Amino acid sequence: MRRFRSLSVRTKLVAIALAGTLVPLSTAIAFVATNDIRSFRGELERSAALMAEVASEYSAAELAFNNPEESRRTLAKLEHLPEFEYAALYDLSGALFAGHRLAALAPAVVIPPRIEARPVAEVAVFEHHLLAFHPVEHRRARFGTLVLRTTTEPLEARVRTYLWAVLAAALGAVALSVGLAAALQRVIAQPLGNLTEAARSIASGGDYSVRAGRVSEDEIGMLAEAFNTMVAEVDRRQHEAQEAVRVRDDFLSVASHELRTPLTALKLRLQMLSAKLGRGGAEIEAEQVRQNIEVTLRHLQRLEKLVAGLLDVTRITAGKLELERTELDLSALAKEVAARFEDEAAKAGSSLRFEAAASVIGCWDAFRLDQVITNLLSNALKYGAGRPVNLRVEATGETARLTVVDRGIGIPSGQLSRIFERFERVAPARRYGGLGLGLYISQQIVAAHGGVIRAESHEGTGATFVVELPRAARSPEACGPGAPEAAEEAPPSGGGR
Amino acid sequence: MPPSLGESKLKAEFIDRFARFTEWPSSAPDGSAQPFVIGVLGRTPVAPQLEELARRRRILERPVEVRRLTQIDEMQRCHVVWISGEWRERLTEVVEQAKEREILTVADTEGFGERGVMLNIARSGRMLSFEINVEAVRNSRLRLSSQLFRLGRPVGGRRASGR
Repeated sequence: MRRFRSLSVRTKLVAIALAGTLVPLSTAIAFVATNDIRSFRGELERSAALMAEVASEYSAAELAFNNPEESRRTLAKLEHLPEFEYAALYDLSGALFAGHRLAALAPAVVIPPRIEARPVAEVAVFEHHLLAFHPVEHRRARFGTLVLRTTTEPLEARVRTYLWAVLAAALGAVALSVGLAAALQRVIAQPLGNLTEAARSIASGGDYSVRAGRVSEDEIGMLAEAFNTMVAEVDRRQHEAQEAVRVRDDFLSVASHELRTPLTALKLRLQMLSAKLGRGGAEIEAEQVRQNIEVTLRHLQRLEKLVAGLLDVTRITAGKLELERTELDLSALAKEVAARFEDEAAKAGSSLRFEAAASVIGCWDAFRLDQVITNLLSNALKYGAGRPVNLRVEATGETARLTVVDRGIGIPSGQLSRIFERFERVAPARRYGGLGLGLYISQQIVAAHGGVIRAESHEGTGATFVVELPRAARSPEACGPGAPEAAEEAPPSGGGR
Repeated sequence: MPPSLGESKLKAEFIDRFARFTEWPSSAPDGSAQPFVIGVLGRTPVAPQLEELARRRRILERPVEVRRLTQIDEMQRCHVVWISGEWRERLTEVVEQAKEREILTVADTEGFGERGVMLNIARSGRMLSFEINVEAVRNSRLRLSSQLFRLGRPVGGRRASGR
C-alpha cells in the first residue's frame, strides 16, 4: 500500500483502470471457462453414455443368441465416433463376449478380458479417457454389459485451445484498457499538474495574482476554484494585515504626539515656575502661582484622559470590560454631563440644548454611560463648528434612546462605517487632537449593555449619533441598587476607574 | 450327426430367448400368474430339456408349462410350438393352424424355415443360428423384435408364398 501511495497520479490511474478491468474480467473468464470446460466434458460424457446405450440396445439379441460375430459388426459401427478407442460386450459372468478396437489410434489400449459386473449404467472418468458402462437388457432380462472407451485427448486439446483463446482475449482487453487509461489519465493528471504549478509559482514568487485555470466542472475544477478563492483570501488578508500595521503606526505617531504636547506644556510651565521661585520667589505672586497650577492640572487631566482611554482600549481588547449595573435614570445622568459641558460649550461658542423625558430608568453602568455621553458631547462640540448642539433622551417601550446632534463639519459618507473602529479618526489629527479612541470605546460600552450606537451624517451638515439601550438587564434580579450583575460582573476591583 | 445333449440344451435356451424377443398381443402381460405354454409336436431330444428349463426358470416372468402334443388341435392354448422333424408331412397344416392363433412356430429341421416355420434353428459352423421366415412372421399377429430379423437368416418370403 505504501508503495502504491508513492506512485504518481498517472501511474495510479492506470493501475486503477487495470485493476478495474482485470478483476471483473478474470472473474467472468474463470466463471465462463469453468462452465464451458464442464459443459465440454459433460457433452462428451453424455455422448459416450448415449452411444453405449444405443449399442447395448442392439447387442441384446446378439448376446441372447450367442452371436459374437454379429456383435463385433455392431460394435465396429461405433468406431466412427471421433473419440472412440474400443467397445466391448461382456456376458453376465463378466467374461469378454465380443470387442472392437481401433488399434491404429490407440495401440497401447487393450480390451480387458474380464470386468466386474456393473448393475447400472455409468460413466467413469480417467485421466485421458472415459469408460461408459451400460447394461445390455431386453424386456427386463439382463444379458450382459457393454463397455465403451473414449479418449478425452481431443477434449483436452479443445480445452487448451479454448483457454489460449480466452487468455489472448483477456490480454487484448487488458492492453486496450491500459492504453485507454494512459490516454484518459491526462484529463485528471494535467489540471492537477497545472494547479501544482500555480501553487509553486505563488510559493516561490509571492505573486498572489496568479490563478489556476478552471478547466472542468468536476472535483478538480472545484479544487481549482477553492485554490483560487484561497489565494484571493490570502491576498486580501495580507493587504488587511498591512493596513492594520499602517493604522497602528499612524496611531502610535498620533499618540506620541498627543501625549507629548501636554507634557511639553507642563514642562515649560513648571520650568518657568521653578525659575521664578529659584530667584527668591519675590517676583511671583500667589495669584500667579494658582493660575499656573490650574493650567498644570488641566494638562494633567488631559494626560489622564488619554491614558485612561488607552487603558480602556487595552481592557476591551483583552475582553475585560466589566459593567457595574445599578438602577439608573438616564435623563438625570445626561443632564449632569450636559451641565459639566456648559463652560466648554460656551468656550466653543455653541449652545447646548438639552431635552429629556422626566425620567428614563434602566439597569446600566453609570460610570460607563457617563463616559459615552461625555465622549459624544465632547465630539459634538469639537466638530460642531460653533453651532448649536442638541442632547435628547427619550424612552420608547423597552428601549432608551439618547441622541446627540451637531451641525458642524460632519463626516464624509464613505467614512461613516469606519468611525467606530479602533485607532480610526476621520478628522485630521493636527487640527483636532485626540487619539481617535472615543467612539470605539463608546461603541464597546453600548454593545456590552446589549445596545447599539449609530451615526448619520453628511459632510458639512453635521452629525447625529444615536445610542439605543435596552432598559432591562438580561437578568432583572441582578439589578438591585448597588448589586453587581452576577453573570457578567466580578466584584468591584477597587481601583482602575 | 445326432444332436448332442449340450446342443439340445442350447436349443431349449433358444426358445427361451425367442420368447423374450416376441410379443403376443392378446396374451396376458409379462409377470402374469398364467403359465407361458410351450407345446412340443413329435418326439425330440429338446423336450426333456424344455421340461428341465420349465422347472427352474420363468419366461417373461411367468411360470412355464411344457405340453407334449399329439394332435394339431392341441396347439390352441400354446404360445410357442416346437415342431419336430416327424411332422414333415403335415407341416403345412400345422403352419396354417398356428397362423390363426398367435403361435410362434419353432423347429430345427432343414427346409422347415422355407416351408413356413417362423424360426428354424440351424447350425452354422460350430455355432447355432436361426433362420427367420419373414413372410410367415408378417402374416401372423405376433410382433417379433427387429433384433431377431437382424440376427436371423431370412428365408421363405416370395419364394415360400409361390409354392
